Amino acid sequence: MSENLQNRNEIILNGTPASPGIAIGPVFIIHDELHVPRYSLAEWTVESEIERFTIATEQAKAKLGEIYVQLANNAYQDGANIFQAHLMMLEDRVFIDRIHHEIGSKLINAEAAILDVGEEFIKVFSQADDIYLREKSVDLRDIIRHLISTLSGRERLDLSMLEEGVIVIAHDLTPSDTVLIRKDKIAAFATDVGSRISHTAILARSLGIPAAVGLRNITAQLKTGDLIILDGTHGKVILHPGEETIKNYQVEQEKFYAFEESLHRLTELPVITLDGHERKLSANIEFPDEIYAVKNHGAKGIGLYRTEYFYVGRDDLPSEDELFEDYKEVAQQIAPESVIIRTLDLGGDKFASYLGIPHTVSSMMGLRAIRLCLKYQDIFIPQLRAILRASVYGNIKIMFPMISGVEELRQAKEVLETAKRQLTDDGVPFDHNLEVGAMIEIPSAAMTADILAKEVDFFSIGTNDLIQYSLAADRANEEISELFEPFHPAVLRFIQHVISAAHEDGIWVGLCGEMAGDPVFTIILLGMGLDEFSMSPQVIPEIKRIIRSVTLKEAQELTREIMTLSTAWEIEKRVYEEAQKRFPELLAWGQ
Amino acid sequence: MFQQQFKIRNEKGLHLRAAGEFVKESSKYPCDIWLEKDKVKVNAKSIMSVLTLIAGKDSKITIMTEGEKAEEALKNLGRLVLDGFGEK
Repeated sequence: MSENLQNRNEIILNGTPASPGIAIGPVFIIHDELHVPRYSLAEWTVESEIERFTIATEQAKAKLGEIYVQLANNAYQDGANIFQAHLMMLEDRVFIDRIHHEIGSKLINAEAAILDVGEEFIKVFSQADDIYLREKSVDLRDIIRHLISTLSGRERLDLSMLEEGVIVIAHDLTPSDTVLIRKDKIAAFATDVGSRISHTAILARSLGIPAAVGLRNITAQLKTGDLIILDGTHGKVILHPGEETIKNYQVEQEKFYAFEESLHRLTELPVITLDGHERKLSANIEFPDEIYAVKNHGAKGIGLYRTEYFYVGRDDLPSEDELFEDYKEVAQQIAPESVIIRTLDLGGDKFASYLGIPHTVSSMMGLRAIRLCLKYQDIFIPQLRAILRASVYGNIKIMFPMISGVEELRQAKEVLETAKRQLTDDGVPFDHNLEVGAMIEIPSAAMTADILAKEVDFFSIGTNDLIQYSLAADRANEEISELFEPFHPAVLRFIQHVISAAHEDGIWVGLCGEMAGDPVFTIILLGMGLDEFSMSPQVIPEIKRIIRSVTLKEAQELTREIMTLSTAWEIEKRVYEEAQKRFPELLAWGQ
Repeated sequence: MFQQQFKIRNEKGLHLRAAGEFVKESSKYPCDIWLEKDKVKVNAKSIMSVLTLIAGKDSKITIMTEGEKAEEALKNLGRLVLDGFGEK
C-alpha cells in the first residue's frame, strides 16, 4: 500500500506469532499497576478497618484456594504450586501483624496499609542478586493485587467490562487470568512477553483465536478502547491504524475466514487420496488442555504426547499417581482414538536441574531421553507404571525416544516388562496388548530399521533430530542454520529407508517432526508411503486438504523424481514448484 | 537459648519452596525460633520474614531457639538446612 494512505500515527510492533488469524478491534488492557485508594481513618474506626482487612484476606484465600483446585484438577501442577505459596503468604503472621500495626498507628485505610507494607517487602526482595529470590517480589505483587482488589470490590480483570470482540492486552497472562477469562467474548490476545509455548499462546491456539506475543511494551503504548489490528499469523500488531490499512486488513481477514471455513468443512471428511488410499492424521500435544484443539481440528488421535512438561520447572520429581491421573485423563478424553505417549525425553535442551546432572554432560548428544531413563530407572519405572495403569482407560500406545540400536531398544522393553511384572504382582490391571514403538531419530537407528522393526509394533520418525544428527548440524546454532536442511537427499533417503524397512516387516510408520505439518513435504511423504502424519492440531486441515487433492500415484511419481536429484536446493525448488502450482493459498496462509 | 550457625547448601538457597519447608517445620514447635543472617534477626515462623533474609547458596545463617522443645527444634531445623531442604 502507498505511504500517503497510511495514517501517520500508525505504529507497527513486531512480535512472535502465537496463533494465526487477524483481529481488528478495541483493546482491553489488563494493567499490573494498582490504583489504590488512600484516606485517613478516625481512631474509633481502626477496629472495623482491621475487621474489613481480615474479611478481605479470607475472601482472597478462598479465591486462591478455588483457583488452586481448578488448576490442580486440570493438571497445571506448576501453576497450582504457585498458588499454594501465595496462600502461605496470606497466612503469614508477621505480614498480617505489620498491616494491622500500619492501620492502627498511621490511621490509614487497609488498601494503603497493604500497599505500604507490601512495598517494603518488595523492595527487599527486588534487591536480591539471586534470581530465585528476586522472583518472589512478583509473587508478592500478585498477592497484594488480590488483596486490594478484594477490598475495593474490584477484580483485576473485571469481566463485566469486557465487551464482545475485544482484544485483550496484558504484560503476560497468568494462569489465574486465563482460568477466569470468558473465552467466548475475546477476539484476540497480545502480550508484552512470551513465546510460542507460553501459556497465552497455547490457550489462544486451543481456542482458535489469533494471538501475538513478545511485543515488548505494547501495554505501555495503548489504553483501553484504542483500536488496533492484530495479525497473529505474522506476530504483528498495528497501533492506531488508518482507514486504508483497516480496509486492507479487512480484506485479508475475509480471505483468512474463507480459508479457515474451507478447512473446517474438512474436519469430518476422511483423509483419503483421490485414488482411494486412506492415511491417518494425528496431533502432537504437550499439555492435556490441547485436547480441545485436537478434536476441533479433526485429528485422529494423538501421535505424540510429550511428557516432559511434568518434570521441568519444579523442584522434585512428579509422583507416579500424578502422572497416572494425567495420562488417564488424556486417554479417556481422546478415546476411542489412540494416544501415543512418548516416554521422558529429558536432557539435551530440556533439562531438569533436580536430577543433579551438569548441563554440559546432558547435551543433545549426551545423557538424554532413553539413555537417561535406562541409567536412572527410579525415574523411568514410575512413568512406565503410570502409563500402564492408565492403559485400561483408553487406547494408549507407548514409544521410546532416542533409540540408537536394537540392544538399547531391548533394554527399554525389558524395563517395561519389569514394570508390568510389578503391576501383575500388585494385582493392578493394565492393557496386556499395549503397542510399543520406537522413535527413529538417530541415523544408526534409521540404518538398522529392518532389525528394529522385528522388535516393535510401529515406528515414529522424529525428523527434527534425525536432520540434525545426520547432517551434524546443531539446530540451535544460528551460524550454521543453512546446514539444517530437511530437503537434503540424505535425510530423504533415511526416511524412505525407514518406511520401506517397516513395511517389509508389516509394521506401520508415523512421522511426528515439523515436516509432517509442513505442506511442502506432504506429497513426498505420501509418496514414500508414510502411514501416519502427526503434527500440531492447527495444521491438520491444511495437510488433509493436500492429501485429498492428489492421487497416491502422482505422489509416488513426484517422490521418485526428486529422489534422483542431487542437491537439497534442486529438490526444494521442485517441491515448491509443485506446491505453488497446486496450493498457492496454503503457502500464503499456512502457519 | 540454643543457637548454631549453618551454611546454606542447596543451589537455589532459601527460595520460596525451601523457606516454606523451613517455616512449616518451625511452626511445629511451641518455642520461639529466630533466624539470623548478617545481624538481621527474623521470626522463623514467618515465610515473608525468612524470605527477606535473602539467603542464597553458601550464605551462613544462625538458628536460635528458646523455650519448650527448643533443643529438639534446633536439631531438626538444622538437619533440614544441612539436607539442602531435600533438594540437590
